[in-house]
Amino acid sequence: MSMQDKEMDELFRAKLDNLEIQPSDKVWKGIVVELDGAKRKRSLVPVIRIAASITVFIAVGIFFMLKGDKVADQVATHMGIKQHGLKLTAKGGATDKGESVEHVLQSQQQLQQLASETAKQQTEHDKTTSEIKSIKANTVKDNSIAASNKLRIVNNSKHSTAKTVQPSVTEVRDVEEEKGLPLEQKTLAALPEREIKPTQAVVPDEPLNTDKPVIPGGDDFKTGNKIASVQLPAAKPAKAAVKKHGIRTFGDLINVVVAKVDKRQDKVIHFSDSDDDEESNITSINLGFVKVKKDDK
Amino acid sequence: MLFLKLKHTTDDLITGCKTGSRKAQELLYKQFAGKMLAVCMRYAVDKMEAEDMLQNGFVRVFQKIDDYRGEGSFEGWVRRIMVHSSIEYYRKHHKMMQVEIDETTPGQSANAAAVANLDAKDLMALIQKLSPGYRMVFNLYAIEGYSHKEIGEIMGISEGASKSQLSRARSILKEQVIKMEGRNYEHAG
Repeated sequence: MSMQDKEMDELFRAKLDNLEIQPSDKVWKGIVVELDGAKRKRSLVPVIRIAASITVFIAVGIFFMLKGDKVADQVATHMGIKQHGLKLTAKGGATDKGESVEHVLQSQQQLQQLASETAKQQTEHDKTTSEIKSIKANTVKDNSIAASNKLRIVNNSKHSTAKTVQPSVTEVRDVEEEKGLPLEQKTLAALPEREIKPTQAVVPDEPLNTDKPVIPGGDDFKTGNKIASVQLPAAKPAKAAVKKHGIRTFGDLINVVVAKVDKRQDKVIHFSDSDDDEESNITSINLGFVKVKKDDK
Repeated sequence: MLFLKLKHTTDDLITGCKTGSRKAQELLYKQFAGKMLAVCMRYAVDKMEAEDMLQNGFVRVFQKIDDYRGEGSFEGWVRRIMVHSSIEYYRKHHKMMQVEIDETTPGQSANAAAVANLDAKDLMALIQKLSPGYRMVFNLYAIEGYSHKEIGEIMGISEGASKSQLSRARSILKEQVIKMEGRNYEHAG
């Protein structure tokens, strides 16, 4: 490359460098149009993202819904076991529609709380077996007439009065025969009106059994009451469960709020109740068309 | 607040552009449009083509303005974008065009003084008369300072082809300068 070439390049560069040529107005308009077009394209991106996430959510929902049938079956069998367990605790007797494990826990708690009262009754039983039997006979008869919602209190009062009055002693078998049907009838009638109290009469099954294995009728009487007590809290299962559990985690808080708003059995969202969990896990979701329920073991 | 000022520094406008202010973009465009159109003109056949390059270049400037970190002059940054815009335009529209070999008589040469006597618009006209391939190589090498290797990569030609095209472009320009000088001399005379 000759020196002349370099000089020429330099001259071209120097002369053209300072040159300015004003563009027409359409250039700026074109720039604005292009920038706006690009903006519009960009603004579509979040919309597409939202649409995609909704699609994914629905897809997952359908997936779990199909899978949910199996889970529901598992839950059903699980519930069946729990219900059986409930019967065992109640020592046989009439069956009821125990809806959840919580009922069992609740009834057990109540039983423990009222153990002392019932213990008194037992000692009385021990002292005067024949008397108690006759008293029971009286009680059954009286109770069938008496107001059903104060059964236990009436029962207790009858116990005390029975001792003093000493009604004519009848044979144990007769007592049992008489007691059988009316007692059950009475309990059934009492169910809707009585609240949690009747549970109290139930607790001391085991001592009753050990002390007095001879009198199956007495056990039946107790278990009858117990079953009634188990069935009753079913009227407000969700609330009772929440109150019992207490609010320890964020999930519990959500459960309480949802329980206030959503009165369905399957809440719109429900977190696990287990105490040992540091974190709350979602155990069920009910969106109406999509229901997901996890077996909370 | 920024636009209540009568005069805006380039930095103010860059900051405004980074926030997406249309007013700042317009002011920045007005500040650089004249110079940048002159850059584009060297790569274009005519003003219309140059304005297309200018428009594409400024759209890219505003879209990529966040990439400008204040290192080096802003004008230099914008200028590089304009050159790239012009190269892209060339690729789209002239890639398939065959390089014309102008049959010029070798041996004729214009000296530097002859070039110096011409004004910028005349020189621009000479460059624009070159075929697209020659024009691109001459612009990139002589004015922008690219190497033959870089030019070869940009244009998709070999390094040797870039050299020979530059050489050819120069000789054409020299001839044109002599012709133009002769015409100017006749007019003056």
